[in-house]
Amino acid sequence: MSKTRSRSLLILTAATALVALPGCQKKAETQQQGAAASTAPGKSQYFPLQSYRVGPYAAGGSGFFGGFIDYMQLINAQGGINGVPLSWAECETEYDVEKGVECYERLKKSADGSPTAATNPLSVGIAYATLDRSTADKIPLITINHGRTDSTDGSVFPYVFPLQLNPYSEVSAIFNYIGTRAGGIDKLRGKRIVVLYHGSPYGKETNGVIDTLAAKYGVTVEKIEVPHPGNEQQSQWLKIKQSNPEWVILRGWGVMNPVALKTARKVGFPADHIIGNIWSNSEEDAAPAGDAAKGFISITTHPSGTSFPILQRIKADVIDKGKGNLSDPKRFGTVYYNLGVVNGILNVEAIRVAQAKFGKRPLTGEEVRWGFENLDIDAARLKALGAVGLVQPLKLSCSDHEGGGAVRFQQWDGAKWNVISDWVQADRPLLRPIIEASAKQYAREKGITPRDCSKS
Amino acid sequence: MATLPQPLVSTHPRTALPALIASVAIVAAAFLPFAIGSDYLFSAILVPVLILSLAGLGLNILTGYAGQLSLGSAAFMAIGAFATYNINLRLPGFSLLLSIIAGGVIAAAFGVLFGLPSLRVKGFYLIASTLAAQFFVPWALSQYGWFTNGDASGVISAPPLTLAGYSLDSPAGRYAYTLAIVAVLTLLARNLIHSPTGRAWMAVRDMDLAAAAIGISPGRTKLLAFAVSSFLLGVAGALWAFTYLGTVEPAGFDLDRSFQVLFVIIIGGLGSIRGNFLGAAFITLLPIALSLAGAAIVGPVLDPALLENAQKVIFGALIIFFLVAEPDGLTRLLDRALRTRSSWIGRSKSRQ
Repeated sequence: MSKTRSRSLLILTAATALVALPGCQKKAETQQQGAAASTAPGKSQYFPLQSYRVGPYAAGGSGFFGGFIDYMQLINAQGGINGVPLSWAECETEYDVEKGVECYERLKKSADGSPTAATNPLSVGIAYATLDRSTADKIPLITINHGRTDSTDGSVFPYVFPLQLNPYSEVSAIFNYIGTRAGGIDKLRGKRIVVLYHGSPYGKETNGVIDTLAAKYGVTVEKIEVPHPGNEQQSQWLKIKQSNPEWVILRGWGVMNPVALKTARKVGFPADHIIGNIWSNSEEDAAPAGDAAKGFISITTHPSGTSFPILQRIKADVIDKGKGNLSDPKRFGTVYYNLGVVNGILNVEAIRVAQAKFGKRPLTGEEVRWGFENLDIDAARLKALGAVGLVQPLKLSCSDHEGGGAVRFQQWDGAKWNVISDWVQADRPLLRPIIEASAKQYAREKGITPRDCSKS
Repeated sequence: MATLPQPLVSTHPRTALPALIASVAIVAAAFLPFAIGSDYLFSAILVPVLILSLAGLGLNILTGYAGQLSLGSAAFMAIGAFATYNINLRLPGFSLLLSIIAGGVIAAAFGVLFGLPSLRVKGFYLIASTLAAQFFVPWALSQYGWFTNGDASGVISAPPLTLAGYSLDSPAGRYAYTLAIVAVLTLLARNLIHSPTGRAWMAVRDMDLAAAAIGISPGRTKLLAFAVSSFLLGVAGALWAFTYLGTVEPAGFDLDRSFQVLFVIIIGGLGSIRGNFLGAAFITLLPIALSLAGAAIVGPVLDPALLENAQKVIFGALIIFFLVAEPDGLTRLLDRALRTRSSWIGRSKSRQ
């Protein structure tokens, strides 16, 4: 190799390093979007978004963050929260834990000095890895409908909020629904259920509590793992076919869901006896399976649809003006998008609650945390928000960072989801001691002294 | 015939210059970041680069110096991480530092175990046997709750980082801890490579029959390489869990991680110590640089998903470009640049 060529290569390497090093130093080079351009620096409320739009879970990430961003755009179009506009910056995680941590560190402080409200990684793995960091940095970590179950106990996890539905409530609600279908929860005795779960922290989170519930109701449960990402499930479904259960609970995520439905069809297991959990409940989970998905049941906290007044407002003020975040506008009003909107509503409401106490200005993460803990969304507030039926009434406290714990069931008719049940409540008093015991063990391992929730 | 043939040892004509650069680099690594560092620099850049370098060094000893191919690096990292966790949790009196070392020793024991096939098979067949380790270890770790202390989701959470009573639980503290361990182990590995043991590895790599003919036992040499390599990988895995992420799950040590370590040594340079650091820096920094550059240049106009996919394409293309342009890795590139530079200096001196 000639010297000139090697020198040019070297220059290229040097150039790479030069690009990289300033990046390390000025961590928030990523464009801060939203109100940042039109507002004085530091005067907006900032959200770091650890989003994911590529990889096997892209459908979930792009829908969720699309809905979240569109809702924030709506708030900005309406003049912000009591005059405080919202801003945000994005970083791609690909649902990968290391990238998620890098994104957390890159984005946790805004480029213009606006205070950070909360992080919403929408990934159990990333949430686990940033839990300590969030607590140390005093930034609330929002894990809506997922996350670490024992973080429901706010006395041990002051900065973590598994809003609406933690994984245990999810399973308990499904058992209650299966009980209703059987004609009473006591009729479950002797029945067989298979849980097909995603081989990840998220997928395994409920294995322990499923055993507890199974023992309580006298159900035989078989748990079968599908390794990430789950695009091959032939052997798992043959096993299911052999054991021939009454119900299959599908605890899937991303590409695993349509593959499960298709494979079930192939081995001859009926779709209307498969119940998808909260991350197996979107159009993107059912539609790709085509006919095989017809009759598939799943739970939801946030029905799809565009008829909710709040979605109509987003359509008028954001989508129709060409500012929508979705690259495919047809996904407006789908399950993931609506979850993003719900997440936006809850974050903004928490800031509203906190502003009522601390003043109408951009708030620190610590102050927003107080807002989340004192969140109280009742029927009247839901009506004012235009989100009746989209969000469940929610009341949080120091000891309860979940709040709701209810789900509705929906069924796929081949083209869309139809809601087939009213709100089904989880057996939260039954779950609470398990959650507290787990939180206590965590506190012991980490040397945390729990807060006294009776005092606040 | 008692002595080894000379070319096996790579003797550099100018040993003073690299030594000078190495010492400058160590001093810089120890002091510079603390002067200019931010949380981001420490916990998102420097710590993962250092740990990947150590893992690369581990694999490089096995592959680059002893010539044994392996795709099981992440499995040994997983063993190190989980062994460290369980020793620290269950055995009283084991501080974190002691647990990390013990975790490395356990990883070394498993390295010898999974290295046994190397006594009979070579090349692609050996890859298949290390691949078995790669699939078996994460499976076993997630199958039995004992390894994760019965945690519901199978994720272990790191205890607070302390050293002799001092808390190092800040980004800078974690960096210092990682740097100290990586520096000491790199120094030890370097001395080992330049000792008769290292020369025996290279002899086996270049031609094991010839090595046997001059009195080196290929079996023992290979297994020793597996042990040392797995020890370093195990320590890297423990650091990955305890000083970098703070949590770890078996799936975090999947085949992708093994490939990542393999890319580190291929891009950095096989049979080189410096190459591991260059390769690790390259593989960590390039995607971040691309993402920052992409966001800054075309961020507002382009669809974010399209931008992400374009970055992946560019990343892949750049790796192929570097490999084609310099198959011996970044270390050779740097070597040549340094030599050119010193020859310039030499010339200007001779003119005076």
